[in-house]
Amino acid sequence: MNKSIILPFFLILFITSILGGAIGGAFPFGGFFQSPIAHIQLPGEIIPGLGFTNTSLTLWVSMVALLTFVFIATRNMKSVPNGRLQNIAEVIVEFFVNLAQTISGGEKGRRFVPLVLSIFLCVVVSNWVGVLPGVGTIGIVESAEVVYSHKEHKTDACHSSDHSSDHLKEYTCKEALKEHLVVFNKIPGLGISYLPPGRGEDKIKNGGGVVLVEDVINNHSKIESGELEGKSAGRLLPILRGANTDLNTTLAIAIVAMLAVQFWGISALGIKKYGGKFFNFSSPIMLFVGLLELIAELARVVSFTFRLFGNMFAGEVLLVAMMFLLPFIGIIPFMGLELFVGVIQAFIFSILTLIFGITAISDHSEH
Amino acid sequence: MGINLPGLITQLISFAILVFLLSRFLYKPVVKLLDERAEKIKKGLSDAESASKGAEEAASKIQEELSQARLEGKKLVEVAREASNQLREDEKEKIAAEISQMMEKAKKEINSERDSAILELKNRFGELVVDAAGKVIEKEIDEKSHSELINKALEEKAL
Repeated sequence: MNKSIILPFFLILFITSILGGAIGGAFPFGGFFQSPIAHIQLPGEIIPGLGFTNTSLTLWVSMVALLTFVFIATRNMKSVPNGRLQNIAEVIVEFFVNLAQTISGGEKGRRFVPLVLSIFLCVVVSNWVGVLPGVGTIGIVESAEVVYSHKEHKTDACHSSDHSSDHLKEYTCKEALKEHLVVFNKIPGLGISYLPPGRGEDKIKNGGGVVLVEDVINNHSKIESGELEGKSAGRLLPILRGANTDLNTTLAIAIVAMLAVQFWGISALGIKKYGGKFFNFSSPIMLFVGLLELIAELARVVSFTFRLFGNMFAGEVLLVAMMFLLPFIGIIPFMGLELFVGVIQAFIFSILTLIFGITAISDHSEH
Repeated sequence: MGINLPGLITQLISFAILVFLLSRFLYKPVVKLLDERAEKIKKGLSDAESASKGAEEAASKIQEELSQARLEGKKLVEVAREASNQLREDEKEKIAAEISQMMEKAKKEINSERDSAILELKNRFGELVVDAAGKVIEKEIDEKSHSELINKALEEKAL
């Protein structure tokens, strides 16, 4: 492409991005690409009919991608490498081997590498998969009834309702009825719904918008029949969602990491010596110090879990918000930022595991 | 917050499997390869070092041998030159001796030739003189007076 075209091209896209998003929506002519801000939910959603969450599915997709890369890269390794994949694999492994040896000061650092490497690769790949287009935006539309029942089951205030007659259920839970749903356009015959580009927060009559569960269930909104035929109201359940935006994933990795740290400590120092770090009855002060150490060890699990989860969840929300504010061009820098944050968080997680491991195998009583 | 046991166990098992597979298929082979390569490079470097050291040694040895050979060659040439000089001197002396010998011989021969010639001449001269004198005086003198006459004449001549 000619250089003189690129700049105006992106300028036009940028202006379109600003005008089409929520910022432009303030003007009467703007907001033509604005979508209703997505429903943000903390726990991973269970994919109907499969029994596992979309975050689990994303983790498996990431695992398959990662393992495919690993198999191809290490399938036919040569001492004089001829493939780039082998080089990449070597660079990554060598980086962590060198790092572990440098920090721990010798060959004993090697025992940490398999886990540290796995944590890094798992976290970074699943973080990057979370930034891919389509992850979090393609999914199943849950109907108003499903949304209602989810909310009803989760909210204590609604549990008083009678569950014995499921089919003849009366929709009485006020809180669940006030949930918002998004209006999708339907492609007839294919069963595919899509979010229409347009003024997201507008009334349905204007071609898009948000309705309440209550209105849909009681057919006040005329969805599916009547004047708004060809539209459906519901909530998007993404098939794929960043694996680390689910606390279960980050907690699982944190538990594995901290269990491994304990294992390394016990195998290096022996159970008596390692346990002595936490349960030292020689003096009241040492007892207190040991207690603090124990609490610190547990706090590490929590901090591991929430650091990664918080960063990745915030990133997802940031992307959604930016898509709402500045569609197209506007979110590109933030996608770059998310890729960067994904690496940094993976690196922090793995390096902290390494450092905790090295701390665990070092003998404090000698100092 | 969404933490639940089934989800947690699912992710735990998934991650544990991933760790196992990665350490089995990524960490182990790559580290093995890296170690092998490091070993190979180390060996190659030390080989190259020893080879270059050997080459250096060989070069210095060759240099030494060369200089020694040069020295020896010089010595040999010197010896040869001396020998040839000696030979030439000897030859010269020999030739000179031969020449002087030959000259001596020749001189001696010449002398003896001359003596014999003189002797013959002396003999013949006497006869001739006798013949001539006989012819002149037309008279035979006896042998005794004859010889006396000759000797007298010769003495006179020699004086």
